Amino acid sequence: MINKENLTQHISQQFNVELEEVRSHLLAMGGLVEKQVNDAVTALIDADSGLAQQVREIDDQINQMERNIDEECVRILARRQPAASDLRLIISISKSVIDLERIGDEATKIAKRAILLCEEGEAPRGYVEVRHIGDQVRKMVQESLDAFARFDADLALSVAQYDKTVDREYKTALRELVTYMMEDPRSIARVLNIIWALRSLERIGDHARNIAELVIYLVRGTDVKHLGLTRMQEEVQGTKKDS
Amino acid sequence: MQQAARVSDYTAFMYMGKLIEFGDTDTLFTNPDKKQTEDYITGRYG
Repeated sequence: MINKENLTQHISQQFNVELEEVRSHLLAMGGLVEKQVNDAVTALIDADSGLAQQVREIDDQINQMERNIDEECVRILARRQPAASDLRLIISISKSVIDLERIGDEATKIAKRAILLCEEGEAPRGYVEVRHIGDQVRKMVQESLDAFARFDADLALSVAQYDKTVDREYKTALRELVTYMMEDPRSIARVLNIIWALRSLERIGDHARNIAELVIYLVRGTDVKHLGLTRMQEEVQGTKKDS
Repeated sequence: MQQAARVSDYTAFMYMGKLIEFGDTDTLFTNPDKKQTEDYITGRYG
């Protein structure tokens, strides 16, 4: 088990500072990505093309942050040769950053759909679903970052479990929208925009789950990717180490 | 320590004449069982 204090007890003070810095940079990036998701969904629901444009512009900033954090990780690996929990921290950070950047990309895609919907006219259906799934996914992103900040494997597990619910809701929404399109083929172009946005949201949920899995790896030291939820739960709630 | 990690299959960590932890080198250097081992290989003391 590791916790936050672990980061501040190295003999080398400079190493403490570097670890703390890269970690806080990741969380700052997470905060911005979370806001992007939020804004993209709001822009789509309120048909606010200005806000959508803003989301697309901020994406560059996220890409830049990804590059900076990557650089920091490489520097720490090269100069400090971190071991055990320090190594796991750096690895999880450098992997999470990829997922965060992808979440940013998906938010940009939603913003693009929002702009298209503003130009082509509102979709007749699907806003309720976007709002609903949007809320759930945003909560997942937020909690996966929370789990990272607090080294909380239990919270990470609940995020991973929640992904199942989102997938189910996504499928239900899809089915409903397909039925609607069959009844009214003229609406297909507009409803498709909503479907793409929903797909992006579902992908964001998957990325949040990836981050949650990395948090479990960070805290427990076991790789829980592709293990299935039952095994994951066993790993998280099973053997606790002496501390 | 880097040398030990590179060349060995198994690693034992001893402190003040006592065996603290013994195990597979990979595990010991990535996810040690004991807090004391962890603190040593991550440079928190020693």
